[in-house]
Amino acid sequence: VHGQADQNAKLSEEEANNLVLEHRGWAESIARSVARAWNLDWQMDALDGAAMEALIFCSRRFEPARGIPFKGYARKRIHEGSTDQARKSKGWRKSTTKEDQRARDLSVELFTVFPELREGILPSTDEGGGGEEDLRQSMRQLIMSASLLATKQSMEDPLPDDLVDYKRVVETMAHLEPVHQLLLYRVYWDGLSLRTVATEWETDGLNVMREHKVLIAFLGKSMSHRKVIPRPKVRPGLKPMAVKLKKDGSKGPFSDVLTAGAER
Amino acid sequence: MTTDSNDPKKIRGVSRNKGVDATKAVGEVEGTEQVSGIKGISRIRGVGNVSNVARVTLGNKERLLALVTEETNKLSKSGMIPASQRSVIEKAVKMVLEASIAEESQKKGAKG
Repeated sequence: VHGQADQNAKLSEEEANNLVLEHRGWAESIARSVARAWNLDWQMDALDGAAMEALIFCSRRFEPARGIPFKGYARKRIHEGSTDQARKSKGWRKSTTKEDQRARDLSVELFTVFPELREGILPSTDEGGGGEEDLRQSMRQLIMSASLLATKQSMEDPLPDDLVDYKRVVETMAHLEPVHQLLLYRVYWDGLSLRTVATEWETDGLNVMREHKVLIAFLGKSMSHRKVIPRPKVRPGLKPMAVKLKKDGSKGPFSDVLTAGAER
Repeated sequence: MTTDSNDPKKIRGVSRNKGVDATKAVGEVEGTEQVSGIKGISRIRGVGNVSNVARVTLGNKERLLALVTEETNKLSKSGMIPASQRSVIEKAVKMVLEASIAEESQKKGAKG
């Protein structure tokens, strides 16, 4: 019990205040990065205040005995505070082209799919470590994910060209196993992060992340070759969910869309 | 066991117990071997995804942005992303990278 109490020990008010003073410049640098990326003014658009508020919040809840460095603990929350404030700011909807606005909206959704980006971590790759091919794979994942998100966005206000693209994407995804269709649907249409899907499916996050990477590569190849290529197999970690869907008679959300469209 | 003929309540003796054959001698404990001390803990070679992560830093930012341009062009030409969306996708990915740069590598006093 005593050990537990030690582990849950928060800092005194003075210690927490010192932590705030020590990390103020760092928190502001996060706000500046966010502002620079979205062409906002980090002070006029109050990103500095949001970052500071998140920093103070974290300093009050930080438990040093847990062994997590303060920056590791606080960075994601400070980034979220900054981006949330950015979206509420006057600058968010001001003086941008329609394309820039769409790009901003897409980038916000990318942070939802890959929350690790808020901590400066790129989407996982086979090799890891940051070599040239590794970085290239990461960028491809981000681009393909952005493409899927853009396809979903285009459904809301479709142009004739977009409709053709949208149909092609849905047809390709309908070719996948039901569990794979559901994974993509939960992430790109329902707006869940990969980690949240893993939690929901009671499986390890890496199972979902690695499967997602395989699916993105499959979609890219399928759309590039414009022909049907063998669909990916379901990895063991996702089998329980696949079996459950099969028992429920689910064909997958994108198959359902196509079936409904054909019946109209 | 017999009883005294004069006093039937008096027990005069107990006959030998024949049930137990004998017990074997307990062997001598020859000693315990010394347990060797723990000399150290070998290095952890990596914790999967955590130790091998690639990060966005000020140092690799320009390279990453260039890769986004290269890859977007390639994927667009091969039809993997719709041509009508190419520009907005490229911008979105660059925005995400810009907003994710590791703060440790930020220059002091940089303006936003």
